Amino acid sequence: MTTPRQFSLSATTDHSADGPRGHGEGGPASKLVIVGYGFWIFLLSDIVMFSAFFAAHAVLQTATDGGPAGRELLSIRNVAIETACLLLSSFTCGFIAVGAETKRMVWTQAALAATGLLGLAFIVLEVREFIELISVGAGPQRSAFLSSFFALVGCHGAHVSIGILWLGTMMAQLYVKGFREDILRRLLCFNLFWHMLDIVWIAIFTLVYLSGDAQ
Amino acid sequence: MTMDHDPQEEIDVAPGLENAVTDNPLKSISIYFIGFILSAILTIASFYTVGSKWIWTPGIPVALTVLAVAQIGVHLTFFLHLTTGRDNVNNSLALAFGTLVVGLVIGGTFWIMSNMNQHMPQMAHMTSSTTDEKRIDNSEVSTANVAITSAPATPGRILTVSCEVGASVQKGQICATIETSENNAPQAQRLKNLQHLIQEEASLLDSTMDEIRHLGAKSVRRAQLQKQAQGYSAKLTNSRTQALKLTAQIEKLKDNGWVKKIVAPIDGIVTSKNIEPGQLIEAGFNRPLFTFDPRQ
Repeated sequence: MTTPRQFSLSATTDHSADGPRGHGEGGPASKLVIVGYGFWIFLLSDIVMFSAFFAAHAVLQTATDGGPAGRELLSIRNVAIETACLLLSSFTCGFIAVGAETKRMVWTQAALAATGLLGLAFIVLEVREFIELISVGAGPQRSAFLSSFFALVGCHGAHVSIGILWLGTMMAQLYVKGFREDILRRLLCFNLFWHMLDIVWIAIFTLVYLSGDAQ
Repeated sequence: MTMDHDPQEEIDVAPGLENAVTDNPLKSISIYFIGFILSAILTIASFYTVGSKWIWTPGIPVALTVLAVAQIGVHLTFFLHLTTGRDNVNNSLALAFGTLVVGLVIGGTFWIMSNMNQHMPQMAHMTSSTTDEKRIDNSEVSTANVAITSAPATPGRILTVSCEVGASVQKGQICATIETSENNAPQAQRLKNLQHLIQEEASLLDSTMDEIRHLGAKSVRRAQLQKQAQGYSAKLTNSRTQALKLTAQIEKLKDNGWVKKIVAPIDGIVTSKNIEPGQLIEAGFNRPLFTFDPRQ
């Protein structure tokens, strides 16, 4: 074992056992890998839950009950800015991972702050959009289409909000406890969570905003 | 992944972790940067496609789907570092299973709902009970041989029934009326109260007038009572004009569908009737209100 491959993000790089770990050889995989994998399974099940909301919205897109349709309500400009915020935040989220791998405190904290601010901008835009819709009488009670719209987009918004809270606690934990193993594991999970939110958002802006507009 | 068969290559790796030596943070950042640029291009393409004329309009949803799937692929590869390597087998398998379930949920929903939608148009012909006469296609009615009018979507109370079993009816003839809001309109309630008030005021006025008639011409009490009677009569006039206004409002409500008309969907003979005046139709009522046999 000349140059052991190492994941600097994991502090668990001492492969003292002979041969590779995982695959049933050389002992169980490192805790970082197991935690990451478990969280990955959770995220996939979360996406399965989202898929039910997507399916409902897809079949109810035309059920406007004589009320306003998506094309008349939704602003493409607004959703473009929201998308830009979230995509940029996914990019800054990459900086968090790299900062953590190389254990640079200022870098990592700055990346966390940037990600959080972009997420916050996204939420503000979304809440503003919701308030506007409700003020013109297009609230979730108006039609099945709007119920499913608020359920789907609101569910994603709730995920982002929870993600921002999580991010805040990560900044505090990192500041107080430094790059400890458990903190690094949590940062990995947060990274996965945030990227997953962006992936769900791709589906939302495509199905809800753009397809709704194209029809 | 490098191509040499270093055993360390096969360590399982968690999603989101790079399986590469990352001494140089710039190298790691560059991977995220490539992902970001690709993703931005695909996003801009998606937004540009909507409302543009550069592809055939009915093809836009397909183009959007392709762009979205491509972007999700970019995110998985460059942000979540998911690869097809051996170290990623577990992650990819989990993802594949997740995708399968998502496909089942969404595909299954579309399948079931489109199937139901295909069957619904015929139902619409059968249940065209209220105002949608236009949707009735005569040829389809005759193939069905029996046209049915069923309960309206909104529950209510049957006001009148004018088609009896065995009677011959013409298409569009009113067979029954349903008061859908069951006197719940605020105007109806106010009118009821007002009618009570009018009765009270009228009887008060009557009794006062009686009293006046029985009194002598010069009585002081008479002048008093006359004044009172004038007051009652003014109030009564006021209440009556209000009642008239309310009645007009209610008539307007009725015209706007407060009272629903059940019309015969075809020329034919009434073969059965399941409602009586005064009957309450509740949400669970699922028998047809009338059935008709088309006249030969």
